[in-house]
Amino acid sequence: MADEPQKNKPGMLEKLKEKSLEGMDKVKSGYAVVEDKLLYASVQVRTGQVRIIPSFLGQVVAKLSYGDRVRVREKKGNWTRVTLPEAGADGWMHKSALTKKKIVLDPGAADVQEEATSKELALAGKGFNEHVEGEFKARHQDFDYFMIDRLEEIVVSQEQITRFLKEGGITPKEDKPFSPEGGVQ
Amino acid sequence: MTNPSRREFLSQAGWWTLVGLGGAPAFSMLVSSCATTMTVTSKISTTIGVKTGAIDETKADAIQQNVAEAAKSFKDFTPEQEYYIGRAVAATILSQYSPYLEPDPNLYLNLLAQTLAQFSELPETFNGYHVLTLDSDEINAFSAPGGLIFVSRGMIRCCEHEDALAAVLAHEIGHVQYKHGLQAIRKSRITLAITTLAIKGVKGLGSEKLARLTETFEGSILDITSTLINSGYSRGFEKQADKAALDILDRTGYNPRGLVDMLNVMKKKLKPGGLDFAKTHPSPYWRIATLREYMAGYPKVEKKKARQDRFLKALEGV
Repeated sequence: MADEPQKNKPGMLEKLKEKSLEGMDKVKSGYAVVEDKLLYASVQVRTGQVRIIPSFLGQVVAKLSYGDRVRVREKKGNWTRVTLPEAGADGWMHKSALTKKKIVLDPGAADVQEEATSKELALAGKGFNEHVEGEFKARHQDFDYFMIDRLEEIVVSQEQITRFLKEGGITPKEDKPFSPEGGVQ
Repeated sequence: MTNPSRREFLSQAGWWTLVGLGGAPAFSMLVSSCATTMTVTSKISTTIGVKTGAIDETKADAIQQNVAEAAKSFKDFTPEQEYYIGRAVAATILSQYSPYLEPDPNLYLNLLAQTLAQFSELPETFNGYHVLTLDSDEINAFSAPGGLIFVSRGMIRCCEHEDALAAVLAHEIGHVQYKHGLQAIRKSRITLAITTLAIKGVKGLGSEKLARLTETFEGSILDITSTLINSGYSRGFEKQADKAALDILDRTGYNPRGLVDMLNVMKKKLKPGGLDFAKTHPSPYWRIATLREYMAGYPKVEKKKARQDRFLKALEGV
């Protein structure tokens, strides 16, 4: 009798298995678990793009700044679905744009102390930063930072990339690892 | 007639318009600010100063012994710090090589590299991937941490189709993705940069602290640039970057054989004793041999007309 409910729910075991794997994934990923097991991450690039689907081909629905904190909702391959705490907006970010650490943008003495021992904190502007670059430039006035600044201004849009692929007859195989057996499908 | 996509490109990167189409004065002004290619070792040693490195090393070792904090590694650099390192490495490279400022090849290379980067393990870096052509007949390519990539005209001439050029860029993206540049920095300097000076000096760095941190920074840049330009990475790193290139090419939809095609041309063009890939990379023969096992199943690279046309058009004159 006791087995009855389980028999009626054939998917239960699978679900349980999924759940435990999910838990393991959380442990492995190392995302900070705080406040009722909510997971958070921070944007670790200058501009973080939030997309409507887990793909670079997805439309950008929001742009976040360095250090912005997001809530982690779901993971799919290299993509993380996040919600923005304030706006409540929802979308996908590539994992390379995120860190499990909390980024402190204007760190004070207490943050400095904590960072030395904690793995959950990163300080913005720490160490090699714009001040060091300024000093380095002053010492090497023949170095061409003007050119580097111009170089960084070249930005390619997603539309251009999509068109470039299409016009070149290039069909991406997203999320498929390289196979030594060959690429002929 | 300029096609619409190209026009869009040019208006977006207004500077390229200025440089490429705005006439000779702007062009020569920019070029003259960079030295022409020269023997790299001497220039770097004098500009950055080897003695800086030696001082840091001693200081760092002493500090290292006294610091109870956990050992730090290159992995502890934030993408933001990696960005500043990369910019300085790039600026150093540009003190040795003149940029080739024709807009068409540069715009094309940026489009190609940023497309490939999306299929790498590290699509997003602090301020993204950017490519610049170097006006040099040497067969050379460099990538600075964070994604600033340089490719010489000589290297571009080793590529007979887009899949081959994509392989060159994918290999460089591979170095960025695995943070090979950061791994060239001496461990003692990393300790100094991350644990000691930097943490204590995070707010309102005093001039003495700033000077010391800048010395560590200079030493780190020297470690990376002398590896990139003079000694080269280990064979292990090069193999890893080649493997990453195959991966990126395959995922993007290019034929990984593009890499072998490029190496086959390179092996004919490389001059023994040259200061370029002849010196800093394993021989193309070795690289082709190590790639052979992955090539089974891939047909010869087929030069699709539209792809080949745009490749030849963008690189005309290079």
